[in-house]
Amino acid sequence: MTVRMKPRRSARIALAIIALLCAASGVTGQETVIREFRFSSDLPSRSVLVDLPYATISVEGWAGDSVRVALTPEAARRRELPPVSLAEGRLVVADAGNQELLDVMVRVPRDADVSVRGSNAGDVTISGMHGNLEIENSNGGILISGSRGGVVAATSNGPIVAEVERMPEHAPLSFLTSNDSVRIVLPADADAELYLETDNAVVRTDFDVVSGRPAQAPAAPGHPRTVQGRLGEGGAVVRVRTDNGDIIVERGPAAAPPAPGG
Amino acid sequence: MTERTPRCDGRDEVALLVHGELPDAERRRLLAHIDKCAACRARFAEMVAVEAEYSRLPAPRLSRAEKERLFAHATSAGSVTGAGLATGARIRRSRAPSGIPWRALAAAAVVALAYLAGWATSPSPSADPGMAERLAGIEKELVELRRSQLQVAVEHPSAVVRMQEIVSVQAADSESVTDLLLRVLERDPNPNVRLAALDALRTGDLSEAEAQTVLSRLLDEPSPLLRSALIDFVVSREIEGRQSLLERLERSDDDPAVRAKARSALERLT
Repeated sequence: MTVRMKPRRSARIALAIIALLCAASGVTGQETVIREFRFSSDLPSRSVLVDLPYATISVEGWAGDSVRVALTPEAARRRELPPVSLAEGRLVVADAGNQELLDVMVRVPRDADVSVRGSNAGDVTISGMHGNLEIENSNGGILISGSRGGVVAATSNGPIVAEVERMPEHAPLSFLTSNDSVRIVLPADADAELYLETDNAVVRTDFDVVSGRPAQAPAAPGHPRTVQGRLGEGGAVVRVRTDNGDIIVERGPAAAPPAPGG
Repeated sequence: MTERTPRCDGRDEVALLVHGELPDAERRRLLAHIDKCAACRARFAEMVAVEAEYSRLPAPRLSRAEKERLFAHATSAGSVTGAGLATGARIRRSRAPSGIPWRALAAAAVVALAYLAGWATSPSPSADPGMAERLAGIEKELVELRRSQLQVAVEHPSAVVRMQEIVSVQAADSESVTDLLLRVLERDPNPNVRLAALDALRTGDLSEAEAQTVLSRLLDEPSPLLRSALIDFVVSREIEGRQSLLERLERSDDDPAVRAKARSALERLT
């Protein structure tokens, strides 16, 4: 998708918005608001990429219609804010060059799609998002809560915890980590197809899984290394794989019914 | 979770499709819907199975209304659930776990009901020899549709979308899109999507050349977790050269877990 906004015009509008909002809000609670962008016809895809290899990243879905990028006051004193730009139809918060570690918080309209690329600094935390999520991290965990869309998440060294508020329609939930555990909480009434594999630990679940094929030899009595089967009527694919860590799939509260009209 | 649209109530349209009575544009539109809608796909699959069974029944044939009534009767207990598309001659592999062969039971029930109802009494050749060809044509069209959809989907910028399309293919028939799955395995930037492609490849038969392509990924795959999954894959199949590649991984892979996995795989092979 191409950006229809001309760069100069885009920059002028962005600067005007930033100036206005910074002047208007300045400080919100404990966070210094650094950047704010509003979705508009110039940014039709409602998609955000946060690509900060040296940051601990928190993304929070909110009811507003703009994207806010914030640093803690302490971090804001130490360094400049990460650059924000428009690329391929989405808003991009990226700073590959700066290796100084920092904590970044990004507020995103909760129905937007979000991609996050962390790497070397720490955990990626995402809460309250209803759009699709793509998360890649290397040396840190991935913590997700309140998701309703598809999730595709991978990290090399760190745990994954995902609390799913509602199963996605026509989208998968996929979680990969090499060297840690994966814990997923699904709605009690979830319809899903589970494919859970761990090489050197066990799979545990308190769901009644309708087994699709015999599991491999159990790692411990009653605890298999793989579970493949169906929850309820089947539906969204839930794929989990880790080399070295337990996989735990827990029953959460039943999903709230969708609000009328969406 | 299945996509439900007003079209899902169009029982007549599915029947018309199976009987080859829909105009071209309408047929393409309905096939595209069936490919996306689990409920209609299940209904279509059941109708195809029923027709395939019925085509083996002796004359006289039932009218369409009679067959629909019979089909509704056979499936009214709610026992027929989503299953892969199949014809009488070919059963697809499906990853969807289902311990009970509902499709076969439904078809068997229809056959039994037909006899009990006295509609079929004297053996004679099938009265509709064109049905098998028609069903094969519809299946071919669906395969081509899936292939073209996957071809577009694998280029989509969203990994969620790419993975969902691959997972959908997997539940149907991976063999017709093996080349696309191999391309995803080689080039997709997201490890989740590459693993989904590998899962899909597991469900089908591969030529030696295709298996060699998978084997070669052991050296080029950047994710240790995917390399582990690839080791599982090559151990599960007879692939020429796997022993030496596993030995190489055991000696020199960057990741200790992969080296241990390769060692364990070699022990299993010997």
